[in-house]
Amino acid sequence: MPRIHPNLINNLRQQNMNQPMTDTIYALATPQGKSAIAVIRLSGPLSRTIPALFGHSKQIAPRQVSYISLLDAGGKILDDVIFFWFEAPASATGEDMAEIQCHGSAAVIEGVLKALAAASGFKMAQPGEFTRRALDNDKIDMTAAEGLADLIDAETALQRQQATAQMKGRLKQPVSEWRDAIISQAALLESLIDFADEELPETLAAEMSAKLTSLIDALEHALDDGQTGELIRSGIEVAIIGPVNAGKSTALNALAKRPAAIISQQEGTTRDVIEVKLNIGGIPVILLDTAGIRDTEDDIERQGIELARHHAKSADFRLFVVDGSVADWQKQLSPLLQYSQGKGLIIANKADLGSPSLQKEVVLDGIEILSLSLHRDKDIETLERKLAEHLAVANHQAGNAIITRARHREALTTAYHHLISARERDIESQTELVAEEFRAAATALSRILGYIDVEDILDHIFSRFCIGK
Amino acid sequence: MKRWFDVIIIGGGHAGTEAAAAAARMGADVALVTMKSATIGEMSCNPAIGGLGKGQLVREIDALDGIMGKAIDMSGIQFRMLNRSRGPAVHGPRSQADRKRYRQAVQSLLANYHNLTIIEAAVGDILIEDEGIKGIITEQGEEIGCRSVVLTTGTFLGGLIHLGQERIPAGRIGESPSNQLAERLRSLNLPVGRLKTGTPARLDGRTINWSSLEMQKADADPIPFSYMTDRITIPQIDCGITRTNEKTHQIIAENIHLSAVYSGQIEGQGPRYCPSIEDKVHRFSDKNSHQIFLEPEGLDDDTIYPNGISTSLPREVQTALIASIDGLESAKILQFGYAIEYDFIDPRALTAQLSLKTTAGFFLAGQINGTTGYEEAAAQGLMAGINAALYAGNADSSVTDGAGFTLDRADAYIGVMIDDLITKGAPEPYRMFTSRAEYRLWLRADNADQRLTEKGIEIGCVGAERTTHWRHRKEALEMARSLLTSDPKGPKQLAEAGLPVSRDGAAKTPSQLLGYDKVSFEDCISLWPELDKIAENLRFQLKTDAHYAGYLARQEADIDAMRRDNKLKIPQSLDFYEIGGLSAESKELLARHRPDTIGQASRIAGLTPAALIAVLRHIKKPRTSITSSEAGQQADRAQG
Repeated sequence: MPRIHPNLINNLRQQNMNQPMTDTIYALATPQGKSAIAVIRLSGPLSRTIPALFGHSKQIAPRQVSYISLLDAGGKILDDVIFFWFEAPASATGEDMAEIQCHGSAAVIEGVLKALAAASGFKMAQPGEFTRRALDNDKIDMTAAEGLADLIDAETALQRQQATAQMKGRLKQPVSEWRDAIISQAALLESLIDFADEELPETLAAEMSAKLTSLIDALEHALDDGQTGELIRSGIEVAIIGPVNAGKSTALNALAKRPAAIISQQEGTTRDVIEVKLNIGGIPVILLDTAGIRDTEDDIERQGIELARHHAKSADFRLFVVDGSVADWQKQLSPLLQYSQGKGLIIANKADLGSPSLQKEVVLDGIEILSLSLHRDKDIETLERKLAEHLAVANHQAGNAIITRARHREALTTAYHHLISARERDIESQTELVAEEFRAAATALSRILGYIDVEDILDHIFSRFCIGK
Repeated sequence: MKRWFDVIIIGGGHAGTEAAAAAARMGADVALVTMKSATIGEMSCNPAIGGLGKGQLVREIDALDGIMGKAIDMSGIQFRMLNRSRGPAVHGPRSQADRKRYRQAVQSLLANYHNLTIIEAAVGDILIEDEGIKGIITEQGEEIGCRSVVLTTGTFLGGLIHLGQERIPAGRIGESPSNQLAERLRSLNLPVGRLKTGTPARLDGRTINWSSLEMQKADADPIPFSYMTDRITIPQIDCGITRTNEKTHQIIAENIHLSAVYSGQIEGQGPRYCPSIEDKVHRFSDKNSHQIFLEPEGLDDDTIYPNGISTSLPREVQTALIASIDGLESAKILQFGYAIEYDFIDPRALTAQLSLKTTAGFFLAGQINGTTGYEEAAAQGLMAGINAALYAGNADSSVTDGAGFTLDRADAYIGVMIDDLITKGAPEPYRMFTSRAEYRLWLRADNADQRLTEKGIEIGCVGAERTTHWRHRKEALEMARSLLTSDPKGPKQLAEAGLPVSRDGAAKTPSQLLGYDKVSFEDCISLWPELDKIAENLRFQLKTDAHYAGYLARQEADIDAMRRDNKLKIPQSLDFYEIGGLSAESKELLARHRPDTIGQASRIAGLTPAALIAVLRHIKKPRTSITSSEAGQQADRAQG
């Protein structure tokens, strides 16, 4: 049963809703700028009238690709274009839709868009409006819409794969199955309650508890994914931690392949946290350069060091950078390794200056040590390769995780806890309470599929779409 | 001079009697028009009241000072609390009734209402002018004036009995149907449909071989339905249990083509949960036996109601199939079973007050709205009666939406039922189940008075006697609650008394302890002797409240959300086809259901959240403010 979230009502009050959605929306679907071909997409009842609007007298049947000339208001040729349209509801948005494929010239595009803007009943699409209409017309579900949003944002191969899988139902399918299973069990419980005088199979309770256990196992398995999906979607945070002047910013610049951080011989050069988004072997990484950790009187630097400690703890992975050319390099490391949580890599830098005592140990506190020089291209390649390997291990289930957002995890966790509570109850004597837990679990899963509290996430998602998609 | 009443109730069944009593309690001058005053309060089918969900309805009717609970307490001959082994929220009070005593009880209860006149007549027409009610005309031609009408025709409207290939126009066996009225209603262009229900043969108890049968006893401590009844004094009887067998099923299978249902003679849809025996055999062919309860129809009546084998097979087949059953080998059939088809009005044509959307003051209740069951009928009758009296008493007849007396899904099963009916219609005869109630843990048989009596007093449908009774009870409950929530004891004392101690070592009140399944009221008295002052008859209630406290707290947010949705009115003048962003299917669904509120719309099956949002977005548009849309509504009404 759909239920509207209270926030929705507030959102609606704040929104300006003078524009009815029956307008025909249009947008340039290809990037701005010069190109061989540009695509202008339309959705709405007037989509089919484009040929007439541009002075073309012949009717064009739906799904028929035509080569036509568009004329401007003065009857002069604007461009020769490919035009076709889809009849509702057999289209991406569920409305009539059309595409104009014109030449990718700024003048042509401007001419077409201006003509559309001047015509009545047409309006420039808001960001995400095409998808929004598809969702409103039940052409896609919530999880597919999220997948589409992620696909558009995808910057690495893993992100692309994950987004595509979600569009294709990698999340929706198991969640729907679990929800259906919960609902069918709930129906059995209800029959126990409402048909007390009827003869029901005596094995019902046993069957139900077996099914409940397998559901709990399935949800547990899905939740125990090392948060891989969320990490891939948002990028894995890798913090570079170390004492001053060990070469942390050099590491950042080397991996980023550009001077993103200022480097100097002066200790304490980096005071703030510098963030760089990278693609390391297909894995999305957010690399954080932090202030060198030391005792200091400088207030600003001290705040920077606090931030460094914070990120050392909260990051998904750590690169500990120390000067490996000095004798006490291991001693420098010991106060830092407390943050490792078993996920990190030690870089004993400045190997070009000599690396005392390193041959003996390649692992410290379970953390692998790389002896290298961040000034050597070959060593940087090694670092990249090692980092990719480690991050892939950290994402042991990469490719299998179905949860890609916090809201999915929250809803699944809620459902899981309700099922656990259901199992703690006695089916025979507390039937109504078990039923209550099942109901709550089904509601939580419904939320993932977008049956409930939709508006909260709708606006959030749609505001991030590029126009025309 | 022609007679005149505030409210006229048409029909003397369970909906009609409850409607008449409620309108009379509201102070209206009421007439109950029935074809035969001797059959007022008649149980046409199974002589029993209550059950799962239904028992809760009876308690709610009683909490609003209705008559059904009192009537069954005066005539119940086998009280049983169903689901006793499960939690109290799903306990279902039920009792077999002595058919004659029940009817007499209803009639005597009605006789107490001095502003209620019973008129024996068949109604031929309802006078409607300017879309308002002016009165009725009997088939004898008498015109009786009134402000509002409650129509409760049960199965009489276009009633047609099927018995094998025979077809007999009737409202009940041996009683004529209301065909003239049925035609009149059809002429009003109301959405009329056909439904079907059935009843089994009646047997002569003296010809049943009881000695071979398993017997089912009444509860040792019969719990009354009415809050006003102290204890049950009618003697309690046993019911017999027997079963169909392979021979029975063979007889049915061989003759199923002769059943009115299977020969295609019946167009009305029957209920899935109360199937005829031929349905059961046909649909569950893997089951080779079905249970039958042999229920005596009265203490001094030998008629037996064989519950579980309702049928419309021809007489000779019924004779053979009954003779095939253990204990019934030589049973004499007193009356053959039959199926009955009748007209009903699609309840989506009704407001939440149960009046027709198109005709102010015209209320419908009971089977005519697509329900089945005495309790469902009585509950609607009660609500329609209250609203008909409110309408009649309201000088300004342009009663706006939201006026009148309604209960919502978190108030009562009555609210759940009416909301279901007016938003989802009745694709099959509607029966109450506990699973229909989202807030089942709160809508309990034990707390109906706490949920409803105060509301009833406020609207005026609760008499003086019950008001006093309830006020005393309420006071006692409040005092008990304050005792239960004060004087927390620490872990040491609790452990010494053998009571559960929480790990955090927090002190606990008796109320918190009662939340544990294993802690009884008596356990608490050992540590808090003052609790012994709490009356015995409140203890079950208090224990139950504590038992569900955690769940109820969790449900509160849901209930708030539901109530907020219900406050968002959809103007009646809204053209759903004008709303953008709605699929054609959603538009059609909305146009068909015409929900009054966003809450109602959200419960329409098949309507997507996206569609709901589109409607919300539309009604929240700045230019259509609520006031102007209300004005529009009234304007629409005035123009018709």
